[in-house]
Amino acid sequence: METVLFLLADGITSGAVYGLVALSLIIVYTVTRVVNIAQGEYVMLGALSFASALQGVFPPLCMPVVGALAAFVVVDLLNRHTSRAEKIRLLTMRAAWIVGVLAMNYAAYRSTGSYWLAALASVATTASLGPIVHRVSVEPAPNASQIVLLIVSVGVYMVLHGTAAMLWGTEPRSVPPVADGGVAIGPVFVTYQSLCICLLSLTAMVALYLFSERTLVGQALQAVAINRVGAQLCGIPVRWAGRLSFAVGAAFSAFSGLLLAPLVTANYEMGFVVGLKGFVGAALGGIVAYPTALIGVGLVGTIESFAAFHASALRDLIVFLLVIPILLWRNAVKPPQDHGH
Amino acid sequence: MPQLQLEDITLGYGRALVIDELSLQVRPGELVTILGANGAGKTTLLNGVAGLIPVRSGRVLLDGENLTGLPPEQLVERGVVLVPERRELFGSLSVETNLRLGGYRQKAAGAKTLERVYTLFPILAERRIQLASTLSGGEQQMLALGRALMGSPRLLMLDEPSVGLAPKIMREILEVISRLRNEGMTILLVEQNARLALSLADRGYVMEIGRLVLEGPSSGLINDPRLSQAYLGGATDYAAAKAAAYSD
Amino acid sequence: MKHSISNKPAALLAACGVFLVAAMLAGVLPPYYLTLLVTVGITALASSGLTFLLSSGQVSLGHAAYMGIGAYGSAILARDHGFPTPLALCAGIAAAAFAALVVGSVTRGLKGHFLPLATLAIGIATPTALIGASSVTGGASGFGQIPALAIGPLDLSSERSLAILVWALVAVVVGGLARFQSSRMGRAVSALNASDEMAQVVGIDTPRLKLWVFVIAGALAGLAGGLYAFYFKFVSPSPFSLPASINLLIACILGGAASPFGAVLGAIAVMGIEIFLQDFLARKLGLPGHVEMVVFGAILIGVLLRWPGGIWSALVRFWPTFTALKPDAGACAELTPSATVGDKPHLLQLSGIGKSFGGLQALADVSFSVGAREIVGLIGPNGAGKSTTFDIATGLTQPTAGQVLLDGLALPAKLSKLVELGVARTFQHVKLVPNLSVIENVALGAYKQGASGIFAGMAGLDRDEEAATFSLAWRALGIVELEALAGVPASLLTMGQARLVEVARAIVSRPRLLLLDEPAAGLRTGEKLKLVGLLHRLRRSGTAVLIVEHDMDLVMNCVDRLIVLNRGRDLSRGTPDEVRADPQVIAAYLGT
Repeated sequence: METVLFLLADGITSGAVYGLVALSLIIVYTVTRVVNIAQGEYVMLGALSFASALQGVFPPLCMPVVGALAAFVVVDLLNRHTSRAEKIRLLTMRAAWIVGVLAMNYAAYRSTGSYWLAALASVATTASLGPIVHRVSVEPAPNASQIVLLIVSVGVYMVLHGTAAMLWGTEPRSVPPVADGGVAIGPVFVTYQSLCICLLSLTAMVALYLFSERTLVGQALQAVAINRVGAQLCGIPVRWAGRLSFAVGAAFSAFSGLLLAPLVTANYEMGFVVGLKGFVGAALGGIVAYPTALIGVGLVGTIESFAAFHASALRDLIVFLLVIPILLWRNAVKPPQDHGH
Repeated sequence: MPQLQLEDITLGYGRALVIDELSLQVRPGELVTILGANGAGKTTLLNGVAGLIPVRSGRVLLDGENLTGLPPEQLVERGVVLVPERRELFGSLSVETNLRLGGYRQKAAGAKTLERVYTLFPILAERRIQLASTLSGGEQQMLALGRALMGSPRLLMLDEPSVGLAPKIMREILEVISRLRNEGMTILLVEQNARLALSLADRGYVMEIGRLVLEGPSSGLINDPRLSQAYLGGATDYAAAKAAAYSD
Repeated sequence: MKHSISNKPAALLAACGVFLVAAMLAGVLPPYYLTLLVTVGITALASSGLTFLLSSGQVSLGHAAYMGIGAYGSAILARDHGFPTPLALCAGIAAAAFAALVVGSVTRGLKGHFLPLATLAIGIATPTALIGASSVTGGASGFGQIPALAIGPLDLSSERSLAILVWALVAVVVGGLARFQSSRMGRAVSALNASDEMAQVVGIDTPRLKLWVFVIAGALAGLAGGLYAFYFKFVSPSPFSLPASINLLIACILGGAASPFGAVLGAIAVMGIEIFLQDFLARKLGLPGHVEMVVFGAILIGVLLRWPGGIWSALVRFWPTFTALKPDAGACAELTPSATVGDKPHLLQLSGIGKSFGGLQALADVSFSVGAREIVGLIGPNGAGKSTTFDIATGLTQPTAGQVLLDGLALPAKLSKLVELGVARTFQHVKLVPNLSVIENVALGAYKQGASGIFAGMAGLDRDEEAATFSLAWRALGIVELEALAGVPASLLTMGQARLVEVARAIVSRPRLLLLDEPAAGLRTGEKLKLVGLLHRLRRSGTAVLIVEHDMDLVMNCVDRLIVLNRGRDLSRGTPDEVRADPQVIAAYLGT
């Protein structure tokens, strides 16, 4: 019984992390229709930035991101079609954004070991990468088919993966947990980190839910996902929506990287498998619906835990093989609808 | 100065040319209707003005300002709002959310405009928390119109608001449109139901295959025999083609 | 005008050229580069199967799994069970094909994004299974000592000879697939990709064809895997894992998914870029390996954003033009209805049709019939229910009340059976295959009159049948007077031309009942005159025609009888003059 509870707790913890990644994939997919193979890389970049900041090193990702943002400001200012007022507004907002990112990273660098500053800086920087990637890899080809955009995202994966290795090398970096030790819940001993993961993931998901359902901006993103033409007719700029969805996706993935890092170290290869499991969870749960996706990832995490315990070699196999019967069942119960774009 | 001016507009989908050098104008505070049989290109024309289809040549001017080539979101900001034929509502969002999204660019005036829309369409107020997909056809049309009004339009364009609606609801909606015109809004109305549209409008244009074939004050058009010809035919001479089919 | 894909002689020449170049290289390259040559060949082989799959509108995100099955299957049978190596290779291919059959059948019903996900799951599960079943497969480290491939007296133990074999197969497969594209089944596969509905309407059994394509794609991957095993004499799970599957996809898309040659181009490009980067960046500039990855990714993004159709689409301008030769006048067949029609007054009969969607009653009690040698028009204002009625009459939708009889019998359950019964139709939103030429689109209508299968198409054994098919197609194209456009890709047509091409496709099947959905929408006056003339000629030759239209002029001038619907019910019927004068009809159209 103890074992079962332990595995369950373990499964829920993994599930929570995969859940954040699943949500990232869902947001990106529903708004832009891109299946983002590179999503896991944001997990890794967030974790590594976090590790750097905690060790008192100026996060290496900051300058490339700031540089790209600045380059785009220049490009946008040179655009003849925008009005002067628009340009001034754009310049002010972008400048604030750049200064903000720089400031957070600098603050984190200066106060070595400050958990929260480091977390803030790494999430903010990685999130800022999202819109940059969207501009570079999605906007130039608005009529490309989904499979082409998928392969383009593979290219993005390669760029991000290689860049991470250049910036951080391939050695894993350990990251201290939020707090050492843990607490006994019934017969099971749960570490504070695991508790933190579950609580913070839940908070993040609730925050996302509130954002999507209660704020106009969040509703506007949903609107673009539900009916692109309708959103355009409301004056919602779809390109901006795409960039925002990439930003939110990157933020959530980076956040999950922070939570995961103390458990598995911040390492260069962490993105791929986490991304994949997040993908499976998202798709199982229904790639367009937030709540059910969480059930999906919970399922993935739990199955994985139990499978690892009983037959570790076949762990991954069982998880991925179970995908097909589950898909068949879901397809029979409620086939995926084509949210026309 | 006319509110809306279309000068020699040419547009179409892909390679197909649907509208060929069309010009028309809508003066401030006018309700102008565009009539014509299905397939004449009326929807394409409105979609072009709303920025959903690129305008290949010609100009779209609003109060003298050249709006040609702007994307839909910027046109909405300048007050050009379309209520499309298929309504394009957000089915899984509530009535109130749909309305608020209509006011996306006019965030400041939001609450007041919302109250106004609820006054015009009390049934929407009743159903404010219901999902848009649960509304009836007529209520959805009202929601689409309400959403458009949330954008505080300077030019309101409506694409066949009466299609598929029961006559009673149709009248309610057209009554609202009439009220809006009386309050000074400039409206461009595309309709299939010629008589009803002409009873509301100041002026009308009749389209046939991408071109205007008739225009004038609505009182004149109603009785013009060429109007029924545009709908029920009689213009092209098919006799020779038919004869040839049986001669060899 | 340019039409690259269907150029058969050019395709064969290109395939031969590929082989010759590869064979020469195989003869002279030093061992390291020879291995690269073989790797490119194997990748090209597997990717060509994937391109074939993509051309049918399907996707496989885990395709290397089938390579793995082929590789391990052949290796295990050859090494541990003493199978003669050619037999082991065939068994490996069969195993991969069987796996594809199972996956394809099981996932047949999956819609939307579920299908790619299932293929991804297979792509991950298979290498994991290979690691897991270590007693048989040697686990993660794999196994070696695979015997050399020996086909009869041919000793292929030397790496050079095996390299030549690999590339010979590449040439045969790619040439065959290229040739296939312009055969009867090739057109059918392109139709699958364009519109499932349209494919069924011309008589294609879409689920079956999709499965066939999936199996062939799996078999080709299995072949590639088997060759891998016999060349490297060593198998392990990692060359068949998810990254390998992604690699295959990259080769396909980067090379260009429009042509099997794209797979070859893609495989060469991927290898070429890798080598170039290793050589230039690592050796010359001394930069670490990660830079290569970044540059590769950047190149991939850059090329695809600039040419979403891949390298092939950038080079296609150099492909020789396809000239569609018109056969002699005497050789053209006549296009009278294939089945004797007699004077059946009620060929198509709708009785008491009702249709409700949820709570909405779209149609109620609609009845009419269409007989031989008559043209019936179905008209009514917007929202009257004409499209719904038409869909019911053509078997696309089931009525909730009433019945539809064709020649006294109920409509077949499968849409693809309709064309055999002499029914052909056009669509409101024209459905042509955009990448095929006009004449090929028209030839698609003759699908059911042909019989050449997939292999006949690849091997070129269908010459006579193709000649007959195209003869019919030319005749149909002549009837709509668009012969000048025969070689034009359908994507470049105007709306009016596209509609007439669709009509030509419909009449090629020599229907006794022709159903036209708004054929005049988007036509210029001249084209409308043509259409009216055509409809009268068809009527004269015995066809029954049902036409839904908005253009009153056209309808009044070509129909014998009119059925007017309004708000889902029969409003009026009669001759054009009667209907035109009916005050109810006028009220319905002009409003009250």
